[in-house]
Amino acid sequence: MHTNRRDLLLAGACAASTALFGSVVSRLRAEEANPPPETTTIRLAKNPSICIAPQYVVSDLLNAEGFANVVYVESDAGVEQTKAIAKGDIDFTLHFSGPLLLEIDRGASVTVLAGVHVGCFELFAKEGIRSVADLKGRTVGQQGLGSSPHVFISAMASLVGLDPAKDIEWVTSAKVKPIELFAEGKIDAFLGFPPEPQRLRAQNIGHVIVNSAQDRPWSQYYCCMLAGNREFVRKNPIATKRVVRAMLRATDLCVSAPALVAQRMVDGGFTPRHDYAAQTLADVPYNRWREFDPEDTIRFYALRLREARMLKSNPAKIIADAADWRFLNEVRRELGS
Amino acid sequence: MNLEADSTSFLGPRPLPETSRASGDGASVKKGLLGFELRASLRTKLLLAFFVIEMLLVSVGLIGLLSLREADQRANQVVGLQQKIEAYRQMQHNTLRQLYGVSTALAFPNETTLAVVLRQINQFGYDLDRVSFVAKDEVTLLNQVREEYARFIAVVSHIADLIRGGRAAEAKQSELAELGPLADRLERLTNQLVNRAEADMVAGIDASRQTYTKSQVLVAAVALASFVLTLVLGHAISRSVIEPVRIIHHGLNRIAAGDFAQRIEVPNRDELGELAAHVNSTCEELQQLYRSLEEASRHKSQFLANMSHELRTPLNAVLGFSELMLDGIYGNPPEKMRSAVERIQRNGRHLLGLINDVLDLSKIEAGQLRLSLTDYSVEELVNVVHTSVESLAADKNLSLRIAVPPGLPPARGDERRLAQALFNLVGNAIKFTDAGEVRIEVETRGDSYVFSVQDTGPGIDEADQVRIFQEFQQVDNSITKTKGGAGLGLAIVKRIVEMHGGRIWIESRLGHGARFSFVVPARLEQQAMQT
Repeated sequence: MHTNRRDLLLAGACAASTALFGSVVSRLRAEEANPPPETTTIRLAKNPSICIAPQYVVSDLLNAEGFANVVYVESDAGVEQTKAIAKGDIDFTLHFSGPLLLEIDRGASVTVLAGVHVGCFELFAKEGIRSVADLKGRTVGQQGLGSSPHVFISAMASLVGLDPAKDIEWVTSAKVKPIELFAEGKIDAFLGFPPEPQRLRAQNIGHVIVNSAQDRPWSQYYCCMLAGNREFVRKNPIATKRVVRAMLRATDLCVSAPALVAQRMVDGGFTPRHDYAAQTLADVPYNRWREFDPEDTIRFYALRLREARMLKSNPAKIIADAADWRFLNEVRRELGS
Repeated sequence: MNLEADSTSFLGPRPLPETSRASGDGASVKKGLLGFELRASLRTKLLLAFFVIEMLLVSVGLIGLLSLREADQRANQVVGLQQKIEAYRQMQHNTLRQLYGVSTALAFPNETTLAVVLRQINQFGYDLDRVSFVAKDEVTLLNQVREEYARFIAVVSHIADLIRGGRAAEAKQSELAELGPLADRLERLTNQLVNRAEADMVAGIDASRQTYTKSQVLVAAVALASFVLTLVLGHAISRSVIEPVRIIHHGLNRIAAGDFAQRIEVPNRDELGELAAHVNSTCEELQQLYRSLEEASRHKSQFLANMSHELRTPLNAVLGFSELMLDGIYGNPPEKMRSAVERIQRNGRHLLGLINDVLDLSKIEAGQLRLSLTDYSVEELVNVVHTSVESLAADKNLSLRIAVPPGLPPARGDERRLAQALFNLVGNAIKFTDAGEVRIEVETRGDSYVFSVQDTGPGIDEADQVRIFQEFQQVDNSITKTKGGAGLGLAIVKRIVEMHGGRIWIESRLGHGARFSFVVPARLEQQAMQT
């Protein structure tokens, strides 16, 4: 078997990360002296987006928190996922803030518990399109109204004065993914979530006009947040806190042991491409959850989506109805901010 | 509580008998829940109704004013939030300028670029003061901003010192490692402030919209309630005022028609109820008066009938014996005596005619005169009258003509009374006509006969034409004074015609003769006569 320097480095990193992972789990076991969670089963969402890497490597940490049974439920990455949480089919998930707010506004029984990371989405466009304002009259791909790309692009467009409903020509395709349409040159722009941006960059297709990890104001706000079923959170506060803690520790792992996390995602069947997973972990800043204010993210996106006339509630109402930062604040204190 | 207790009725202070209160009043004297009688006057009712409507209008106005005040407060709030956002953005802008200034100073290390950096530090003090002024409520975040700015200023000062000391590499390192992240944090903090202000603004707009919607609903509801209440009050007042007035009006019409038995039923306990009670009371008094008058009239008629009878008996004796004297039963009277006896007989007959007229009128008024219905021939009736007065007309050289269509079907009525009526008219015509003719005419008009007597006498003035049919009334002129008469003939004719269900009228002009006509049913049946 041919072994190159990259494989060696990866193996080394994995070994080191495994040790780190083991130490975290050991520390968690020591914390088990606290009251056990009200339930030992946790259901998490599984979808093609791999920016929610912490969710895919959190199972061991959840086991250590006292959850014997961690189940991944297949789901899409859009509004349907929020509905699944609201219905109680999924207990917790890391989800894009925009679609979350959309369903919360419609009365979904969902509680937002923490912000996890920023900067996972990137807006790609054809040559000749230099900014979001240039999208006026252009074709933009999406999987459906209320899908994550639709929500984020609408927020971006309304920020520069476009009416997303009128000024953008949405191309909705259920059969062919928008990334394929974009790759084939059939649409002008496309908003992708990891591993899609990584693939487009690798294939040198289009160019990025908005990178939410770097470009303001998007880089100032969480794109993915931890949300749970409201009833579950209300009935199971100990379990909820343990889930929050495990998820944020997993997020820390994405910073401290990205190679291990990437490998685990591949091993766990969450993504087939290790290189894209590793690139995602390098591209997405997972080290911001201690600094950024999740409430401000809700406020910011609620304002933008309201400008785009996709939301009726005002930010204060959404925060009052669907945000609970008690667990995050406790975990921040425990894990150090 | 009696709302009218201390007020004098607008009809005056006349006390009302208990029994003469408006009908239903006794039943409608309702005791309230508190055990006292509530009697609101019309004025009180109207005042109350207008007060209620006024209050509703005032409440609509108040709601509008409150909404305006709230809108004004919201507008001020939005202005305040705009000021906040502007101050936050200024702070962000100055932070970026500082970063730019530091980069410039690093690229071109000289006193000029350093002076710009140091001057910019002063600007932060102003920014913080401004933000502290417009965002007093954001204490926690502002404290964080102050702390971050203190660090930022310290790092900038340190970098400036390093540049001035010629340690550019260290300064660059410090910029990258400290200043950049600090600027990021400051940006996020000010972003938070901006987002909060924007969210507050959106919440304010939502609240304004809700307030507006609520105000709309409230104003619409109050306006609708006012409208309905106004209609109800209007209807109630209308019922309370107009309906009683209508009832009283009908009642007065009945009274005017001589029906004193009906009572006016007005349940109001206000002035209108009082008015109805007064009308009822007056009606009762009128009824009593009417009964008294009827009684007096009956007594008068009875008296007149009795007196006429008592007068006729000796008068007939006078006339009979005087006639016997003239006929020479007691021997031929001397010429002087004959003249005196003839005068006795002539005046006696005149007196008998008067007594008969008075007796007839009395009987009619006393309701003692009954028509005796029989079939009669109109032509014969006219001939009888003609025969009776022919000599009178001949005495005055008057032409007496009759015009009766031939073959008239037999009529039905009181022949004797109709002949009396016609005789009176013809007699009057002959009496007041000195030259010319008197013409008796009969014509058919539908199921009726019209009898007319036309003369070429002096005629009757229009002003006198109405009263000549009343008892003891005559045209007041020299002719009637010379012709004499008691003024009973036409009154009797009128009564006889009316008893037949007919009517009498006159067509005349002064100096152009007169035409008296009466119409009677051709065939008067018992049932019709009673009607």
